[in-house]
Amino acid sequence: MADLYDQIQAEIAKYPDRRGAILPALRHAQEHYGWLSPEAIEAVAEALDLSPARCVAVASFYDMFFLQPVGEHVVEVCTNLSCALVGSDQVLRRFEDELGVRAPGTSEDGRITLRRVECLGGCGWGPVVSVDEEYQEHFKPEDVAPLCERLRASRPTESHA
Amino acid sequence: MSTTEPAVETVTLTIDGRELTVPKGTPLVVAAAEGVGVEIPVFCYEPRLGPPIGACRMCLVEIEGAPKLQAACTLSCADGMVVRTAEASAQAKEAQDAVLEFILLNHPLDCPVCDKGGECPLQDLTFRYGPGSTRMTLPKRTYEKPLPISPSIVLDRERCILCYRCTRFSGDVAEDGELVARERGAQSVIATFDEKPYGNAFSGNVTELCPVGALLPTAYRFKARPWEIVNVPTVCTGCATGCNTWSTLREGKVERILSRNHPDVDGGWLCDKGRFARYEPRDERIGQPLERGPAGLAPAAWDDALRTVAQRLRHHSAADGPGAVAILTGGNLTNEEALAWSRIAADLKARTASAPLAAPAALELVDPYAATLAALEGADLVVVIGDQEPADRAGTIDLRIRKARRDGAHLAIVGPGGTSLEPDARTFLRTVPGAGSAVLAALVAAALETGGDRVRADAGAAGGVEELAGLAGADAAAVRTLGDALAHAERPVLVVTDAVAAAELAHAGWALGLDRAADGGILPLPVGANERGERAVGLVGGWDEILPALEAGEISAIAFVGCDPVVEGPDGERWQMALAQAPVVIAVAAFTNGVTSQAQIVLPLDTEHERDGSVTNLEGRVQRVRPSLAPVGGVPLVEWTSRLAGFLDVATAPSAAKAFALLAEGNPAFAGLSWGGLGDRAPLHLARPAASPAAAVAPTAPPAAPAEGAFRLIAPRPLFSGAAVERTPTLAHQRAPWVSLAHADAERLGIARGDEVSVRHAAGEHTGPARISRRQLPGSVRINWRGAPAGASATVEAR
Amino acid sequence: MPEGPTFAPPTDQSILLPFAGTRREIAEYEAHGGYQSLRKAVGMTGEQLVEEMIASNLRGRGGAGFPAGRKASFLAPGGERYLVINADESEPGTFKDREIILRNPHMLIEGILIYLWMIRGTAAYIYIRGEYHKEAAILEGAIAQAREQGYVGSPLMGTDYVPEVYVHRGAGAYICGEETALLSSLNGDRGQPTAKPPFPAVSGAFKKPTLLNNVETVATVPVILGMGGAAYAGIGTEQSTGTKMFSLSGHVRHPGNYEMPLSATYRDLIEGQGGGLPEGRTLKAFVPGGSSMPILMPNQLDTGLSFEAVVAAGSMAGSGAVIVVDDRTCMVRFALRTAEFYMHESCGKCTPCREGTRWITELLRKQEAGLGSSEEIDLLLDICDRVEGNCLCVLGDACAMPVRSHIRNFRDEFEEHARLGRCPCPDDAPMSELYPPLLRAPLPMVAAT
Ligand SMILES: Cc1cc2nc3c(=O)[nH]c(=O)nc-3n(C[C@H](O)[C@H](O)[C@H](O)COP(=O)(O)O)c2cc1C
Ligand code: SF4
Ligand code: FES
Repeated sequence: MADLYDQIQAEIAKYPDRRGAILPALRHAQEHYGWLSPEAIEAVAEALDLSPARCVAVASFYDMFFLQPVGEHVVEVCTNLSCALVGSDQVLRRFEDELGVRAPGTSEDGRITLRRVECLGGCGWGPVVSVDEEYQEHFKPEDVAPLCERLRASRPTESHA
Repeated sequence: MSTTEPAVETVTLTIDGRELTVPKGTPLVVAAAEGVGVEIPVFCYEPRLGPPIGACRMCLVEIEGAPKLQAACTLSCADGMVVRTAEASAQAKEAQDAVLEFILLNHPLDCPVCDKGGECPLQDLTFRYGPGSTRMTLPKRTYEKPLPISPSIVLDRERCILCYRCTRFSGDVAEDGELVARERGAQSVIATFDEKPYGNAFSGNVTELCPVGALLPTAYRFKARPWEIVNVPTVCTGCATGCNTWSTLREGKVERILSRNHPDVDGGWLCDKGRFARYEPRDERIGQPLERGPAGLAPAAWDDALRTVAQRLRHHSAADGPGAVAILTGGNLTNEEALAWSRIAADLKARTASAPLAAPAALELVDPYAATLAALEGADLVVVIGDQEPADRAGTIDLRIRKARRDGAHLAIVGPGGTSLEPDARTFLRTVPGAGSAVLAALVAAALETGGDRVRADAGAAGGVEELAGLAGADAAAVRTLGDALAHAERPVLVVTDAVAAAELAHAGWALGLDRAADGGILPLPVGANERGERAVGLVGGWDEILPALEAGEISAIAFVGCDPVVEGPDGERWQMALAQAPVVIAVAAFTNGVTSQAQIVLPLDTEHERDGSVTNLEGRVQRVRPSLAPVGGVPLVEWTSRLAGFLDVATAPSAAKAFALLAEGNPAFAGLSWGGLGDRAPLHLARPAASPAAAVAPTAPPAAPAEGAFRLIAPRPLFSGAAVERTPTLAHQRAPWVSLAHADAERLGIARGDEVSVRHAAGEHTGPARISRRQLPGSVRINWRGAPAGASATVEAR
Repeated sequence: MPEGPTFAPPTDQSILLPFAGTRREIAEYEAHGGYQSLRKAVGMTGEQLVEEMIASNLRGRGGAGFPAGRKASFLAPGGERYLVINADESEPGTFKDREIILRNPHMLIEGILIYLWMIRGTAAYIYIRGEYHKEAAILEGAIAQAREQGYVGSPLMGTDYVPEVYVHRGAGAYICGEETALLSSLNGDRGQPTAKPPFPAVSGAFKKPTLLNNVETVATVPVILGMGGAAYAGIGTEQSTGTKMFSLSGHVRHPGNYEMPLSATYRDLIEGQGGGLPEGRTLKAFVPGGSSMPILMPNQLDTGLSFEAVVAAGSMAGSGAVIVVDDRTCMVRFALRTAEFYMHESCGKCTPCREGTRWITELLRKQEAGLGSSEEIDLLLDICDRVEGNCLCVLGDACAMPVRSHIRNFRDEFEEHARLGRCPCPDDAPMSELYPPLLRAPLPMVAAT
């Protein structure tokens, strides 16, 4: 993908050492390929002039990179202390019931991946649910069904871009 | 520069109540062990891997004034420091127990079946300091095992203690980044990308670095226990670096090669060729003299065979005059074996050739400007010139070049591109293939133009910068920039992998004033492991000079002693045809090969674990090779060569020790040395000779551009080639063919990374998956073939 | 539909965010005196600026409370050097830096430019946690506006110094908030801490001398220059000057961020600003400074918010994240969820943290399920002791310290679980679900196509 290569070169320009651009490069690749498939990793490695293994070593260190395919939408529920104290466990359970999967998992139709995540930094406005990287705060169990409905009706959002 | 050594600054500290004074900067663990005899246990600490990382926490000690325990491995001795190790501090002792307990939480108790058992640091430390029982009542982590991470190495993740030695080697020493830690926290595992084999040329070092039985050489698995083995100190003769090794012997078989760390030569590293390549199986070896009869080659008695060889050589020498006999060595004999053959050659007025190319024959001219391997440490500019990866010529030199760069040297790569040193080089100066000679002349001209304290302005250049840069296909402005750096660096080292004539190198050395750069200079890389030693005893010349004479019928008897230009040289087919016409062909070989099939008489060749003698490495260091096995033929080469000499009435010595005495007496390259005094870590015994004016020489032009649509071929002989490599199954992945193309060409031809591509050229065809380089010269194709003339024309097509 | 964050109103003691709502546009910011501190700074030398910071006695807001002025003075002189802003904000309970960015991004940019000028930095990188997607975009927008205005990317206010500011997004790893791990991550390595020395001031971003500070620390710089270091030092306590953002969450009536003078107390924060606990609930304990800190008990509510007061009370002020826990909460679960977080976030580099956090978590899991024993509670305490102080960075301590304090303060709850063989809490208590461990292992999510 030529444009991914160019995007990565533009990122490299922001750093005195090309290695600094590895996180933005992986992020761009994930946006292009949907997940960090071996093919995506190789494209990143080529653009950064680094070994693919090194790119995986870095990617696999972080929670936000998917080294396995995911659904079209990603829903993440924070279950860390502050959110859990105000009911995020119940929100997650409702999602699991609604989507018919245990977190982490993807609904059978491949549309929605559900994950449980650590503190998202919205503790005072919890429970926090991140939907395609957009925070939804004060989330209640009854918000689950409408959200899923909306997501099922929409194609992958542009919010990744 | 002052003439006296600067006084070493010292510091005084206290360890476990004992005061000691050490040079400033001494690592604390070293001071403890050597200064007061206290062992601070370590796992992750390994200074050769770069700065300490303090990961395993095994080395925690109490430092007065520090709020908590400190990892001793990360500390250097400082004045007034008061240290209490686990021997003297209850807190440090408690921490050490804790760390060992944590390490053992997941480590399986399989020492009795682990190959590391008996020589395992973890086992030793557990035995000495460990808890008697475990308090962990939960299941240990389990993994699929053993996992082959390459055909030569297996990984047992359950045994891994995550010390990161292996990944630091891969990332920070070899810099391939292919062996990494994946995931995070307790789920971290050692892995390669997508289960691809760990293919670095130095991969085997991780099996020595791993402090537990997690990374083991496949070939050594379940082979031996530490109490049944003998380790013989010797030197690798896989290339001219001369890395120091131990060969581990068990029941008459070499089961393993380990590094014997000569800091000035190998820095404790080996390449996989030296470590894993074996001349096996022994029963396929040529084990006795063979003479060709009507039914082909058949065994012959030693003396009959030797007498026949002597008679034939003598006959042709006498009948056809000087130069009618040719003796080709190839840079692979010991000095002692070479001495005998050189005396025979002299007596027969024979032509000799020790290297594929004649050019380096007069390398002694370069000695006044020669750099040592150790000089790369502390170099401020390293310029690598040529088509070839330095590692392909001299394995571990690659690791030294990388270290020099990491330590701050400006690394410049000059060549057609597509080599592994380029990504992190500060300068990449692109040339056409085969332009080493031209670009060196251009760089010298540029340096003379800018001048500088060291440079000899009056040395005269071979031409103008534009003209010479043009000849090399290089950008003149870039040549000027690098020439300027060459003129002004304090300790530049030039590593030349192309065959550049010695006279040209000598002129470069003189003009750049490299004799004036303390420790800087030129490091030409010979092809043969002992090419330098062979030349020193008089076996000079190149195969390329012999071939035309052979083709012209000027040579009537030819002997190949441990070399095979049919398979190993760039002109294999021509050799084969010429040999078919030669009246007498004699081959000394370990296995049947390209020349044995044409020979009337074949004699057994000793391989590296069977020889006793000395070899001279590329710097001129004379090192002792010791046998672990008896030669398959029963009679050592040095001994039967002296018998052969006897039949010719040529005086030589029947043993290595005696031959060495002859060398030490009469040959300046061995002056001051004695057989018994060679020692286990040989020093460089010769000083640099004084420089004298050397005139500019017109450079050799690179081959002309091929016809429209054809590619320029880059096919230098790879490190992983030769009889032993080909016979070692666990090295198959290292030889796997590939084809490297410039990005623009690949795009034009619609070839993607990994696509099968086939390359046809005058000397053969090569097919392999595509690699794509954005630095490689467009219109060129690089292959890891057995070696072909630089810049020859080739065609490329996707399969 | 769920709403976005609502911000707590300012009080008359607010000096950092003394207004309601947001001020994201540069014009708006400038209309309220924005970028005037930068103008003032450009008239000063680097040394004078460091002195001003020392005079303010501002202590770092990222967690360790290290004096900001002194840190700035350590930077190795000359050559290429970098400023790195820590916007990783991942300590559970902490969400203050995010509010600063959401409401007043230019205050941070201005602080960055003053600091860059102070050290003549080659460039500044804002390392923002990857999940802060919107916040990163706001920062990018603010930088673009500052660039248009000539504050970034061109010679600064008639000098020949050209400041450059970049946003660098993380990708989900708590440990990248630790300064050396952050720098490893920025340098393109796995985000693992490194041994000190070398300190960042000598070798940090791209192996060059680096000054690293928290968002709030740097955002406070324009305020300090505006009012003068000495005046700033007059607020708060002698050892903890100024005001600080506190993130209040958990069982309180009005959760949110509150800017408090450091002379105030937890009671002022929790009962005053936060409105106390919801109707019918009583306080069981509170986390004084992020989940890694030992918990404090109701009788410690009058503890001051200053760094020194919290230490005297047996804990640490950390990042200022205050989590309020009511009487219904099961402390075994609370401890388990805390430990699980640190196990999940342990980078895996050093042995005691990698293995210790896992062991602690596994034992707590047994304990929660009622399968533990009194002896195993002691074993837990012992493992906490063996982790604490022995790790490469303090993440291991961050697991051991709170778990130890939960056991010490609520040992009877732990014992009761063991005795009953189950959790005694009612079904609707918070954290009632026992999830499988949050592991990072690549779990197949959908079949690869
Ligand atoms: C495990 C760990 C996590 C940390 N997370 C953060 C963080 O998210 N944000 C932050 O500013 N500092 C964090 N810190 C503190 C930083 O290491 C560092 O002290 C701080 O950013 C320095 O800035 P300051 O001097 O302005 O406070 C963390 C420290 C540790 C040990
Ligand atoms: S495989 Fe061996 S060398 Fe590598 S991390 Fe594990 S224990 Fe260390
Ligand atoms: S040897 Fe010091 S931490 Fe590993």
